Amino acid sequence: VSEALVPGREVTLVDIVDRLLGGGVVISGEITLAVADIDLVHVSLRALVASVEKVAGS
Amino acid sequence: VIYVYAIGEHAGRLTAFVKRGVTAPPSAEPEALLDHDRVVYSLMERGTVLPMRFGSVVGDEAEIRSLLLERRSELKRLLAHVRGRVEFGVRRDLPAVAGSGREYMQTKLESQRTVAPLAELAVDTRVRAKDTAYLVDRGLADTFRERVRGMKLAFTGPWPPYSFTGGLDG
Repeated sequence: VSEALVPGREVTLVDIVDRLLGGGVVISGEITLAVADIDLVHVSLRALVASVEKVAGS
Repeated sequence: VIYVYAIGEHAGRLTAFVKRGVTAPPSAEPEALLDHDRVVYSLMERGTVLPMRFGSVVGDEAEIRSLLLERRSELKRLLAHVRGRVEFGVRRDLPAVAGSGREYMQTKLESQRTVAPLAELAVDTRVRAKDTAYLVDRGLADTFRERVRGMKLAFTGPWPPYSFTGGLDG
């Protein structure tokens, strides 16, 4: 499994597993309810984020 | 639950990029992993993002808002750090545990020889289990790739900044 899966990137499935399970922001700790100037954006997967739809602001 | 791909900015505000209508946290199957990777990569091409670890879900919107609010200063600092930059991984084919002291020193010297010329092109580095991650300005990405190839080293990327998200083992 050494051919590139993604055009223009040197990436194999093994590399993806390594990065995605070993890195990234981790959700942890207590969550408290609060109001923030934070947006949620709904990612439309129909065209792999060809469109990013904003669904909620504050 | 709501699946969270990444944290970024939208109209200048801290933003979570999510998928609704997910029934359960996905298992680490190839299709799901590729989906996460493609979505986060696409998001990175549109703006600055901090990837979430694969499988990150929250119960509802309030939960993700609270999470972002609580960690907003950390997240904004991390976003500023990775803005305009991509990650590359350069493999080290070195034994994790070296046998003798001499072997250890050779390993260490070899590692320094490969890291230093690459680190000077990067703004940050992280030593990972199987490779070293380099955070590189987009404008220097081609130069970085050429140098790695010139050194006959195997690399992966470009990646969204998975290793520069401030996680304990990121």
